[in-house]
Amino acid sequence: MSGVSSESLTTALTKLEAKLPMATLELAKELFGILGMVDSSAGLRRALTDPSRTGDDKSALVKQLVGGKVSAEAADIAGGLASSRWASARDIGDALETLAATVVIAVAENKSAVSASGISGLEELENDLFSFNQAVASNHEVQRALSEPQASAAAKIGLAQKLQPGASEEAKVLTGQAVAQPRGIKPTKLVARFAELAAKRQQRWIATVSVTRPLTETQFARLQAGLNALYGRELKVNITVDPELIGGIRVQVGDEVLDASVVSRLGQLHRQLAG
Amino acid sequence: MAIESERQAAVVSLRSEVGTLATTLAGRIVGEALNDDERSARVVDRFLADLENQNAGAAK
Repeated sequence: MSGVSSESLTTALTKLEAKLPMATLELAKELFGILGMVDSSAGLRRALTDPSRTGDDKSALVKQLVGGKVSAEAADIAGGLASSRWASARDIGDALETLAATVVIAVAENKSAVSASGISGLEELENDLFSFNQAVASNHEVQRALSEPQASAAAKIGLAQKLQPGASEEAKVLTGQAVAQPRGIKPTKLVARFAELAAKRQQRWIATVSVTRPLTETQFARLQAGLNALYGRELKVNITVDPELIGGIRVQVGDEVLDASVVSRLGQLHRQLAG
Repeated sequence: MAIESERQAAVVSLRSEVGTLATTLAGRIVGEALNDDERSARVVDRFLADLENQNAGAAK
């Protein structure tokens, strides 16, 4: 995805974050449904990337198209995407797909909220997605059936369901989407992409901490409490001892890094002196 | 003109060399100092205190 599109996607994901605590599979299915509409209508895709239309105009167009068929929330999300800037029609579809999958992933995450950590629900979802891909990879007939252009989407979804009788509802929604609407790539590849999204979300619950020597119990407790307060959630804290830091501490949660290591300070110093 | 640009290049190269030398030295000294367990723990404690202060500030 090019710069302008990935910026729009980041904005959309940030806005979506506020809705994720109340995420439902219905909302995800509606978003996947809207994706189907966008993918099947060349006219709509052209209108959505027409530079002569304003963002508000595009948003209104989408809302009018889906209005009455989906919840106000889904229409709102799709309308928001339509009003953003996209380098290509493919990108807006990809973004919608990512948002819908993120909603499913959030449902899995929220399931484990009772234990105050989203890890267990996300792990279960990832495992289900991996076993689905393994089941497909080990059976040539299934692969053929899933890539058969004549077969209906419903038949493919039925087959996918049979491959994973014990899987969670969330996994079934994602694998069903991947086989019914793979959008030009192999269904297993799309499933792997969904699993990656889930794994990335799981990283938000894990603090990877590097230090030069093991922390004392008190230090560990202070670190855990401090990080939980900073991020507003119960993080799993993994400590690794890495002498290369020379001293100090480095903490990574998801994409964010808090770097108070001596080696990075020395790096800064070096850039200032020798840069 | 040629002399001026050569002088400029020499200054840049010297600056970089001295900078690298200084940083390497600083790294060695700091590294040795932090071989001391207690000192090393203090650096981490300072980070923890910053983290706690930041949270206390945000809570206000």
